Amino acid sequence: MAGPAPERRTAMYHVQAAMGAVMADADGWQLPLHYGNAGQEGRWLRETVGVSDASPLGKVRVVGAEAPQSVAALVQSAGEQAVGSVAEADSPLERGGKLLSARLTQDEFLVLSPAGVAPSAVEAMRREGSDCAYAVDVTSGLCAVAIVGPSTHELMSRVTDLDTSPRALPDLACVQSRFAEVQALLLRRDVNDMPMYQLYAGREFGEYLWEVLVESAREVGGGPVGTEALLGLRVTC
Amino acid sequence: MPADGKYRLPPQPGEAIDRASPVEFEFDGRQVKGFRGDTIASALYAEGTRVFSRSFKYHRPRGLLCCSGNCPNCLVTVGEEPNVRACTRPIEPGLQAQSQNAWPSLGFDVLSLLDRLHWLMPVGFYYKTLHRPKALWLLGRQLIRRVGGLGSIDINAGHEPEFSTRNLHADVAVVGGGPAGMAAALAVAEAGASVTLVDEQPALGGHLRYARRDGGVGDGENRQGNGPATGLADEVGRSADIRTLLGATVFGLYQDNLLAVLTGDGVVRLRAKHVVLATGTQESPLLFENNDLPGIMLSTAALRLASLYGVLPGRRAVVATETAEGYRTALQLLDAGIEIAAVVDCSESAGTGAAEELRDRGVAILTQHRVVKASGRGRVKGAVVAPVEGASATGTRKFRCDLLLMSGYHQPVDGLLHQMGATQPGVTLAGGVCGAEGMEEVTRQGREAGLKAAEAASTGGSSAEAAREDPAFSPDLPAGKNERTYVCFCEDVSLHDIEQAIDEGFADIQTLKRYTTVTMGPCQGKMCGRALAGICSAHSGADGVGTMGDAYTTSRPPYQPVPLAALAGRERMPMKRSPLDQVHRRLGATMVESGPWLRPHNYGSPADECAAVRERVGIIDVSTLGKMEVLGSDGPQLLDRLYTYRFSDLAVGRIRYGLMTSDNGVILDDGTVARLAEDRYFVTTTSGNADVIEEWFNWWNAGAANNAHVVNVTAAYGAVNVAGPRARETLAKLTGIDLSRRGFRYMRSVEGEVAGVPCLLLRIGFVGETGWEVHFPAEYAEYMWDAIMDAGSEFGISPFGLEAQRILRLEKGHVIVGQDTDAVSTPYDVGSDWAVRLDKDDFIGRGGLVVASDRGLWQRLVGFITQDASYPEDGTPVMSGSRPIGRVTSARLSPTMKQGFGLAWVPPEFAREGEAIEVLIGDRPVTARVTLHPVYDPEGHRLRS
Repeated sequence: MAGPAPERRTAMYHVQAAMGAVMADADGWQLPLHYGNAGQEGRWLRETVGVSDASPLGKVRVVGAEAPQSVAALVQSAGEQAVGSVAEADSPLERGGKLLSARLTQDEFLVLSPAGVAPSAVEAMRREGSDCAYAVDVTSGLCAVAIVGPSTHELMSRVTDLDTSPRALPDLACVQSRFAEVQALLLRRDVNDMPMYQLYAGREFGEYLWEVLVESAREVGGGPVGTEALLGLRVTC
Repeated sequence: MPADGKYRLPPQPGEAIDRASPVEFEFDGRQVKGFRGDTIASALYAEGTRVFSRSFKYHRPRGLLCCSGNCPNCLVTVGEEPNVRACTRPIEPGLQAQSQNAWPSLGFDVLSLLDRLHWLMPVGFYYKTLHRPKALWLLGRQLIRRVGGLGSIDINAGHEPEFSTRNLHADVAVVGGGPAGMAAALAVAEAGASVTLVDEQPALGGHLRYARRDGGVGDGENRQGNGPATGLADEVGRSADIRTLLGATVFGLYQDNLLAVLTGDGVVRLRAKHVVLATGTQESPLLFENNDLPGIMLSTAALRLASLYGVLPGRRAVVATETAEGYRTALQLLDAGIEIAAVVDCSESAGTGAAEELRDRGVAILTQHRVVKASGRGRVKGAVVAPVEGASATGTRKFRCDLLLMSGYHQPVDGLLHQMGATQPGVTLAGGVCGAEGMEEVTRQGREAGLKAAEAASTGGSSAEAAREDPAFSPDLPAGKNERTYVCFCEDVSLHDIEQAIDEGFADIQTLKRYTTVTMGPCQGKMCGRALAGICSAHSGADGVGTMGDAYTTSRPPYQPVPLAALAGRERMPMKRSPLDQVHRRLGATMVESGPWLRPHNYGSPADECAAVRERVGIIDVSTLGKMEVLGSDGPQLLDRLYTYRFSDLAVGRIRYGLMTSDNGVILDDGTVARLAEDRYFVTTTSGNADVIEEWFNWWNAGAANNAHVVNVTAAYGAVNVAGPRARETLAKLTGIDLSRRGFRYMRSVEGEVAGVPCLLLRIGFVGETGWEVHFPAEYAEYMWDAIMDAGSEFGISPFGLEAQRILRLEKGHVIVGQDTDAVSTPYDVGSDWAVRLDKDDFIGRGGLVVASDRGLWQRLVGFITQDASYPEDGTPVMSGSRPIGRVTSARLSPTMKQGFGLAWVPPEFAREGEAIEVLIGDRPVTARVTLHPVYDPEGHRLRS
């Protein structure tokens, strides 16, 4: 049964390929390295806006009355976190990296981790967390798009009637709303003083959302960007 | 002729055109020269064009009337876009414009013959004539549609999305960029709130952009076009806190202060906490015979032409006015070098400074006079002036002129306010719209409104205001027949028409509107609304008009016409895509919409696909199944509560079929429930219902203080059903899991690796063969599909689509919820009595099911088999004799029996094995036999083997 390692594809794989993406392996996932012109993509990120596939990020949904206690096993401040806020912490797990905990409701969190870390995050929460909370790895069920650059807000105004201005949605805030008619979670986490939004929606809408976001990015002078351009600006999702 | 041809004035202070940048465009096939900043209309007018369109009904020549995008007189087609207002559309090189509603040309329109035949088409003629014989109306309707109307839509025009929708937010939205609006916006910004200022013109300034002699400015202060308006505009421009939308029309004010704004790129949805309406006033036309002749326009239109575009509106003008505005207009035109033949004022005194100055400069001023008729054919040649009734003045006089200006009462532009009813919380008015006059008062009011709005936005308070009360309408209507005294320029409704309608008994302004179509045209009452109200007022009392209805007709969005393409914006139709979507496309599948999903209907031949499943092995994408994990120690209780069967006693590793009913016992959904661990169930629902059922679960779970959680994992798993006699051999090549008959029994689940990917295997059989539903993380879907197809190739594996699945399940008598069941079907009706456990604790639907069980069956879903290969269509009636007794829900040709068969609802007395019923094939009743057993493998040997 030993064949080539099974290839993981995000919901946007084919539509990205059709846009000219050159794919590369990232933790077993196929992700666009660039779309033919990484220099242009870097300029978009600096000057307008770039949209990038962040689906491989580990995503764990934690539900239950004692969800804060469970999440606190990984992100200490989760207990005091307000609904609609995002907490950040260094991962205590073996692979390291950053963990984000987004509090969606009183008893519901989404814990975001670097790619491949979700199973061990679930494990840790089951081990150390409360019995009155359940952690489910939903990495496969959600697609994620990172929207980075100074025109981010302008792009968002074309896909949602939610007020995404810095005043209404500051750094490390999250909100669930409709984006291009799809229910999704929007999370803001600026990197290196650059506005970055992450949009999480059901994987089944991935291809559609990607097309809408790229189209909207193009309307404001940006476009799709690959991992190369992001790394060039030291942006990690 | 040079671009600065015979009707260009010398450069005007503050003009909007750039004389250094000539622009050429095309109108009706000829080249026209203008300047950057010109509109189509101003450039054409400068070249001498006076007729811009032909009227809707009588094809009368029409010239510029409002020059501000509010009337129907200059509608042209630009490229493929009909009904563009030439007076607001800027010219650009290569633009191609064409006149509308005229043949062969604007100047000579054959259908202007209709103007002579107007007596044939009285008001509401299509309600009264063309009725007998009936065919006459069909003919008449075609004719009316051809003759009447505005531009026509090019149905072959491209459908590329031109417009996109944007959402903006502000603490305060200010509508109107005149002095009041600018002052308001500045005040809001000063108070530290965010503000968006919207104006439909391409530049800020409002009426001060063209009205240099506005009384409040202080005479002369704005004469150079650099008065207070410019100062305010500069200040607004400098403020980083004011977002300005120019060339943007607010066409709707909706609940919670949502403003719909039309811009060049599409609709902007502007959500504000508070709104300041500084929309100013709109001059209204006057009523007299032939008031629609080209050369007769609003006085502000002439000012716009002269001040903004440096175009000479006429050489010799008569100004007819109801207010002091007319004098200031006359003075400004006099400044621009236009001869003023007379100012005709219907009021008593002309005591303003402007009147004095005019008199000093030798202009004839006639107070208590009015224009009663315009003379000329195709163009105004003169104005006939007479004293108003009761005035002791001279008799009728005639003035020669090529420009007749109408300066009727300036009505408040408060349509937006009225869209929300007379008052609207969270809306403040400022400036002319609420009666302010003069620069000082207007800006002070704007400022106050801005401060108030900023405070209201920050405290969440609200205030409501009404527009100013209108002064009494002047009730003295012109005498005479008034057949060509136009009230409505859009649809050619004359004063005569309206009076006739009143005589016919349309005694309310709202019914009058619907009958005569006045205020229903493209201007939506902007030109005719006030005149209509005046007419109703004049006729009230004796005739009763206006006494029972409203003073004005109702204002509704859109305030200005909006292209449908702009309203639609970009197409946003989210369809769900299976992670195997591309695989199906690669295989050439015919895709169908199945609920929110696109799914393969077939891959070429449903019959071949059926054969593959029955004889070899088939694979179908079932990723679209709704999938939920039910977690927690109270999960079993939640399931017992929601399903009709019991699940708390389901052993780990086992699967059970489950039916869910609504509160009254009607089937809601079905699926399988697998217990993966003591506190973890894997639940599937039908594809189309996943979202609804998740909500249903959460709804019933929310109230209970228990430890049960529902997580929707529909998209997390891709899934395929591998079924057929060779399914076991196919999967065995990919996994070490024991798939043997004893090792992996029917209705059991196992988690393990298949092709190196962690999977969940459910042994179930919707299609009636040995088979497994294999669930895997969605990102591996394509890899898994390829791996299984590879493994199965030696056994002749074939993908199968929805159609094959439907046939195969029908042979097994499996019901599809929604297809075979309806809004009254209970589990008993479909023969699933075994799935209902009334002996367990209360569950959703128990009450209804107890009732249904006690009363016995009213109808029953049964199988039927026809006598040959023919079969009825889904949804056709089941007959007994000539009486309809039920209906067919699904019917197909059975590949196994080579006979038509299906499922049908019949009365219980027909639900007996072998009972004869009749189904309709085409119109022909055909006998079919009822069966209560699956037509394929009734004992389920193949399923369990």
